[in-house]
Amino acid sequence: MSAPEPLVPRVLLTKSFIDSHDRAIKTIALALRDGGCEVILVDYETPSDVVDVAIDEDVDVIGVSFMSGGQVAVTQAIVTALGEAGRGDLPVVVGGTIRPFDVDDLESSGVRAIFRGGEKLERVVETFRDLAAESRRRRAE
Amino acid sequence: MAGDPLTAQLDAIRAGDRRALATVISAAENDPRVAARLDRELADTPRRARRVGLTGTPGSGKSTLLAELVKLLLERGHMTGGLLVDPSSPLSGGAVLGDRARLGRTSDPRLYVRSLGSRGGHGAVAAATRTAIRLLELWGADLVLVETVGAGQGDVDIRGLVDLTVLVVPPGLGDELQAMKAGIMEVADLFVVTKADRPGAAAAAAALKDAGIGGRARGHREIIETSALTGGGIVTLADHLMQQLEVTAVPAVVHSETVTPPPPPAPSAASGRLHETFDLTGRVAIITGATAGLGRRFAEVLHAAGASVVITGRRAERLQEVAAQLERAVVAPADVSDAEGRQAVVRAAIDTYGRIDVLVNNAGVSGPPVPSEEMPAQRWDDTFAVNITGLFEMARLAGAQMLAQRSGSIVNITSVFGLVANSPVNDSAYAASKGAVVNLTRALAVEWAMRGVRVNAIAPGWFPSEMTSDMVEDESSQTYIRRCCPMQRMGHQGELDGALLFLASDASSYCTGQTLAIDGGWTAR
Ligand SMILES: Nc1nc2c(ncn2[C@@H]2O[C@H](COP(=O)(O)OP(=O)(O)OP(=O)(O)O)[C@@H](O)[C@H]2O)c(=O)[nH]1
Ligand SMILES: [Mg+2]
Repeated sequence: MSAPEPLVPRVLLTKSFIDSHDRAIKTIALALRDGGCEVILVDYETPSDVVDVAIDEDVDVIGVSFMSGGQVAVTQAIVTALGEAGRGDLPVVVGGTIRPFDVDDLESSGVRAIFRGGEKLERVVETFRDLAAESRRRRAE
Repeated sequence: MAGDPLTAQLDAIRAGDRRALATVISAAENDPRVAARLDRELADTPRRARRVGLTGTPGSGKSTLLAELVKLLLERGHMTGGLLVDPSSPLSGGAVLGDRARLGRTSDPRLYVRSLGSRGGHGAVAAATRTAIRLLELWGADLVLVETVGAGQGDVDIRGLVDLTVLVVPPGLGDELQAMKAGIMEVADLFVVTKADRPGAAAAAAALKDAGIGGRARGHREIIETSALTGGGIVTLADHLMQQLEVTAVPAVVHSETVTPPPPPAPSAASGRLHETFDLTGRVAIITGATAGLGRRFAEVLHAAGASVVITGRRAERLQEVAAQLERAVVAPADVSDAEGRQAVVRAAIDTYGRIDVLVNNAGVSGPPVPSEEMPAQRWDDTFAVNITGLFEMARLAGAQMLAQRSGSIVNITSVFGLVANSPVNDSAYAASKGAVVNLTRALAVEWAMRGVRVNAIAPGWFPSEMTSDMVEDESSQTYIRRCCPMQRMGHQGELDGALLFLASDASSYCTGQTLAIDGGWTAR
């Protein structure tokens, strides 16, 4: 048997359709592409949209970017909707404008990483890749 | 092989499991051996989908066009698959799969869209494209749209994967068109000039006239101009594609039905049979607050127009009395401010008749006039619980069934006092709740406009009812009405029939989000 194809991590990067700021999410998308990931970029209207796209696109990690608001409420809604869809295993990462007082709530809602700006891009890519590999492994079991 | 995981997943896909579909497409992408096995196993499945390829230079407007087509196809009832191929980086193997962003919201049980990195596939398609098309067919798609990566002139592989190849050409492509002549221009079955709202579109279309013969039929190719901005040309394009693909019948909507579904409104010449668009034969209507007054009348009117009715209200005996006069009626006593009650009503409709075509949200409460500064908190809450929360929840529950059917009409009963203040009959809770109904009607209408469900409202002025019975005989009330109402009278029983029938039936098929004031001119000045 020949060796299996190398893993191409699939990442969903998303932000609210109301949020017109997309510089940050595009920077991350390009870094992930250069880090060998396939990145699906979409805007969501409701938290359940994120879950629907994640399932159809069979992604390994979800990254949600925030600029203006909804950090905690939307993240919690996404995590809950994932659980209800039987995909509580999918890791969720958040980034963008994350206010200090949101961090505790975000962590307790189950997000796997929080990027508040200032992190090295390589770190970000590595985190996504690690989470993707872990997520694939868990699903294969 | 029995017990083989892939076989089990294929069975799941055949049964409509989109999660299995997503997983197996990944497996085909990740391992060519899996793809090869799938190609072998799926080769014999009867082919069920028509396939259309959209190709053209980067940025020509392929995704935007695909998005418009998808909307139309869903509206026409097609199970639709979309495969969006974007280029993989030859250096890192990664990709930004950006096509999907152009599609907007895609959550629809009849739509499956998948982004594919080209991953070294030839000719602007991904290696797994063929397999993914087969899997979409197995899932039940009857139309599959494939977008290639921004293709150059030599990228003709798409032709081997689809039934029709559409070459997407943006305005201002004069010289490039010349260069393309030999390759992709030759294999295109149809030319679409996108961005027709921009200068240069007509020139591009003119240049394409010189493309000569080509395509599968080795003939002259149609040139269609479209604009995603204005929506121009999209219907023409869809119709042309369907004709070329010989798609005649759309598969029937899948739902449990015991009553014949409504036929789509047919275009017709004005004739003596115009009243037929008001016909509700075979339709199923729920009427809330149907024990007496306007609600009872609404049930009788819809029934007289042919509908089967499900009537609800708090007083069971009164409902029985109403139902006793009707041939096709089900009684479901409930309080619309009670969640279980609401569910029971909708369940009764579906269990008995298998569908819901009309919901008349009539139940409402008001109280004796009270100055706002003395409004009891409980009165405020109770008013909202019935007039807005109960109404919204009924719309949600019945709406879910209507959305699944892709057809339905919701008629909310608000009041002129949802449009203007009710001074001097002060009831700010009533006014606020009825005003909320007016804008909820707009919000739901816009949200569901593309999904077959219309939402409108009627705003009656003063009509005789249980709620207003003491006004009819009261001289000062009548003076007030004479002063405020241009017609100087209350409405008569029956004067809401026309508005109700209009909004409930296909007669209003192009009307949604509107509030029709039936008020003797009360709100006209
Ligand atoms: N004015 C106008 N702009 C359009 C129209 N259709 C597409 N565009 C714009 O053209 C640009 C490219 O559109 P896409 O649909 O992404 O083009 P594409 O061919 O899918 O691009 P790639 O997938 O990157 O090759 C976007 O900025 C669109 O907004 C149109 O009908 N009118
Ligand atoms: Mg595109």
